[in-house]
Amino acid sequence: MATLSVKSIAATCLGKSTPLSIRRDILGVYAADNPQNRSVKDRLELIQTRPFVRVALVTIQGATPTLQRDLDNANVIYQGECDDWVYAQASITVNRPNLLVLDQDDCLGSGHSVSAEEDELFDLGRTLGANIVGYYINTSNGGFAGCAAHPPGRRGFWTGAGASPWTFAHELTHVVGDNGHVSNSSNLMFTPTAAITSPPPDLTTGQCNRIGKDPDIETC
Amino acid sequence: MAEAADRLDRALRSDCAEDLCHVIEDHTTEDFAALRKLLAKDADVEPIIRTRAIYALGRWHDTKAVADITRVLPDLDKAQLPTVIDALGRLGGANALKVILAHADDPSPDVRKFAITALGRFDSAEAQAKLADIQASDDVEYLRNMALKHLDRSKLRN
Repeated sequence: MATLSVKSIAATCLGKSTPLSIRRDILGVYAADNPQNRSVKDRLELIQTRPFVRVALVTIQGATPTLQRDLDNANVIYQGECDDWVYAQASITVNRPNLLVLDQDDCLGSGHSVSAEEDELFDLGRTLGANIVGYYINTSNGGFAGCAAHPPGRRGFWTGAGASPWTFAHELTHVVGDNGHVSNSSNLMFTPTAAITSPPPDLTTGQCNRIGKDPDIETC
Repeated sequence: MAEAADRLDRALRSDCAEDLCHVIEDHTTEDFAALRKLLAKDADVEPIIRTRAIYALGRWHDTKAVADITRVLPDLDKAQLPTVIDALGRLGGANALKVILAHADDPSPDVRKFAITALGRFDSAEAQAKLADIQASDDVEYLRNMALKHLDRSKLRN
């Protein structure tokens, strides 16, 4: 079956053509930091049956991402709490040492002032095939570990070296569905994410509905 | 009162930068006083909380914070310097410029980068001369380019 079927599903549902890598293009594995058994059969079913958000990843060389842990955790939450999942479209590393400690004016969702360095960062990875790009840097001028404010028309977020296991999914969920912070400490949108109780974190029906209605949610 | 203190504490401990930006945006006298207190010489404060307090004070547009930041400077570690330089550049004034100039040749390119951006906010001859010096002699190409950009912008302003 498999080869033709996999090729056909990848082409129809994901827009990916040969040469295909089962590991990257189907299973969404881009790093070795979170080894586990992964089923191609289950993933193919997921691809065909459930809505997903496509995310490209850009690592600034010198950053130390826990990329696979972050993708897997985002999928545990999205698949467990909502009807959706996260598809990693591609992952690249870029040599821009000036962006490792990002100069940001603010991290406001509305009325955000885009700094010159944010403008430069959020230009990267725009040809990888996903509208949403996640960036791995070291930190910002405030010592933070994540921010989802982005230039208009370039959806994305960054996570830094001090990120918790939930920071990536938290920042992604600011972008997907425009979800804000909440005071419930078991919810993904609680901050600090390192203090989230009873992991994996929850998402409410309202938050899932917002994710499901996001313009970048795709279906096969 | 306690609610505001809790909100500030959570924002300072948050990994996500958005919370503290809302505190800065709301700009209350109580938060300003609490942030300044975190920089008191004898205050027992975690380094990351101090870093974020400096970040917030740098965006408060109140030059009283310059003295707070410069006073605590000897107690800070290298990793906190980009935040310090960034904050002082945003606050401005002669005392802030003095500290920025003192760190413009720091061994760390990250510190020098923030010093260049900070110097670019000043129109003084001293700041412009340092930018010209960096543009001519820094061994890191992107820093030389940054300095040149700021010099060009300054020419346009004046």
